[in-house]
Amino acid sequence: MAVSAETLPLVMTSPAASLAYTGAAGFSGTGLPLDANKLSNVFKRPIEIREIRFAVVTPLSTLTADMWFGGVIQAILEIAGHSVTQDYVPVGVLGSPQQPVTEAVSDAANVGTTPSIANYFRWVLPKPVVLPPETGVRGNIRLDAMNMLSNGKNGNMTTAFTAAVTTTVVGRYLDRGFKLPRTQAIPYATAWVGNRDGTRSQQLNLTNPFEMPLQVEKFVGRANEIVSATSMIDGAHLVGNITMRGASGCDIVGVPTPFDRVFDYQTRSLRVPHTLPRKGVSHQVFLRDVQDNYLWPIVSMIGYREVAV
Amino acid sequence: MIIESPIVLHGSIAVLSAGQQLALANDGGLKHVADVPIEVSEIRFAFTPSRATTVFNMGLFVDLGIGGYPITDGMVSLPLICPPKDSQDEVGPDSVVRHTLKLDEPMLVLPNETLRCSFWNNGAAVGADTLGVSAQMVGRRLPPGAPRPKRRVLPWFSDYVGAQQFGAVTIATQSNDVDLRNPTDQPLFVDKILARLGYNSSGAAAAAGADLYSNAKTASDLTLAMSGVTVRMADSFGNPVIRDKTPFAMAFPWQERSWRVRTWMPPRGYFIAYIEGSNTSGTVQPFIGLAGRQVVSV
Repeated sequence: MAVSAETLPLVMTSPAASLAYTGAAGFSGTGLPLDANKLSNVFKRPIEIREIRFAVVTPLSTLTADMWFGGVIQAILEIAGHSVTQDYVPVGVLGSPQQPVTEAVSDAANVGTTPSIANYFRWVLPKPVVLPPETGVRGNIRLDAMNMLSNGKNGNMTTAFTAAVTTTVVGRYLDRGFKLPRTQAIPYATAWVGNRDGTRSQQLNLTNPFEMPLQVEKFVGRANEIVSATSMIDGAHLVGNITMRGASGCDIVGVPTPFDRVFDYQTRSLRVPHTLPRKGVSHQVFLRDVQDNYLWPIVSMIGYREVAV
Repeated sequence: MIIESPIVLHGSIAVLSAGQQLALANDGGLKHVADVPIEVSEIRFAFTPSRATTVFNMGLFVDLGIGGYPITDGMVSLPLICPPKDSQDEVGPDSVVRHTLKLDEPMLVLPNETLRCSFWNNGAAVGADTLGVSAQMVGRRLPPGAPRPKRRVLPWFSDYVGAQQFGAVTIATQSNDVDLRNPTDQPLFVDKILARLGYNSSGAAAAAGADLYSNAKTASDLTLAMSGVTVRMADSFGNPVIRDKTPFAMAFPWQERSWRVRTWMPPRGYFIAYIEGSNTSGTVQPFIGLAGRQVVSV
């Protein structure tokens, strides 16, 4: 058989954390910790992590249309003691959706008769990460209402709700005799969440905060759009034009270009592998011709750096 | 110059009534009669109802074999082993149910071998309705003079179909050592773990209902897959595969209806799946399967 053999697969799950949105102005939810015990390597042999998944379910009878939680459910993560995110990053921009249509697994035409809406997000890591015994995945999950009450064109998101977020780590066992590498690629995700007051990303948003080079894999671009008091969707197609300036001073996107053309609409991503060589080097995104203030564009930068272990 | 040629073999029609198990009448259509082997990359199935009515997809089962070797572990769920790219295409606007079994590695079929197919209509068509069944093997002829291998790789599918859970109940069911298994004395390469969740909101038998993964349109269905029904899994040595209770659709990704694991299962090895959760209304039935490859002598 012309196949490469791998060892036993493994799934580890942090149980659902229940987050609440009060509908109040200026709300930003407190982070809840992931269950560190459930996401630890307790197997006395190395394991390898390849993917992190998030499921969001809200039991809310008053929601009457689609809800996309990818912007407001945010995670701060570390793997084996190494930071994987810069502060909280919206889970909807960690990975490219496999099929955007089915990411939000709700159907607007049928939601409302019974109270529940679900979303599903996957982050396939740039490279697998080895977890030695006694190490694990740590982190917090929060619901950040961002600007859901900022005089949106279509109204404010005033409906209070709760959202249960389950976090799952997917990988495989490694052989007991597996020799740990001297270095390994630790993933890194950072994001800029735009708003109506600030139309450009800041120096710290899409930056390399490490002393070593950061290998950038791609940018992911999506938008949180308030549709009504009871729904919000991914409105990447409504953002308008953007430009991007690269760390070298050269333009990445020089001419104002529609957001959904810069970030391919099927994958929501701009895959441009390159290196940010040192700490403090950053890219910048500028919003142009933004149509209104009911959209909050989100641009993430996904990559990895080689870390000695 | 050697020109390789594609080939499609079409099996004859069998008619299935409710509850019936029936072998496809092999009139030679699925017998490979040429004098060179063929490599089969896909096996396709179509079920045509006797009238324009709903065919309950999750009630279809199949038993396959080639050259005296089983490909399936007896009757296995057909929608389960044929995870669709787009489930909306499974049941067409003409009410015909179509499934394509894409093989992870082409299957060598020798001259004069026949694809053995038996089908089970476990509530897929109800009442007096019947289903016309056909099957096709799609592949390519090997060039004349191609060396005949001493061994070949055949696909292998086994499944676990959990008990139907009616109404407001606590779900607690598990597979055993004869379900998700490698019954041979050779290691089995496992490509994927497959999963679907049968659901019928009307409360009738889930096997005679829609597949939740294909028809997750009502909110309660979504809750069921994302949080209401959970799964844990271990291998035959007790190693956790899914360590803690994980929502069904989280362990087995929503889009693919499968989890690509690419692992080896030892001879006589197996997985045990523990299904837990709660149902509020309607009927739920979990389906979990293995898609692997076995090496057999020619």
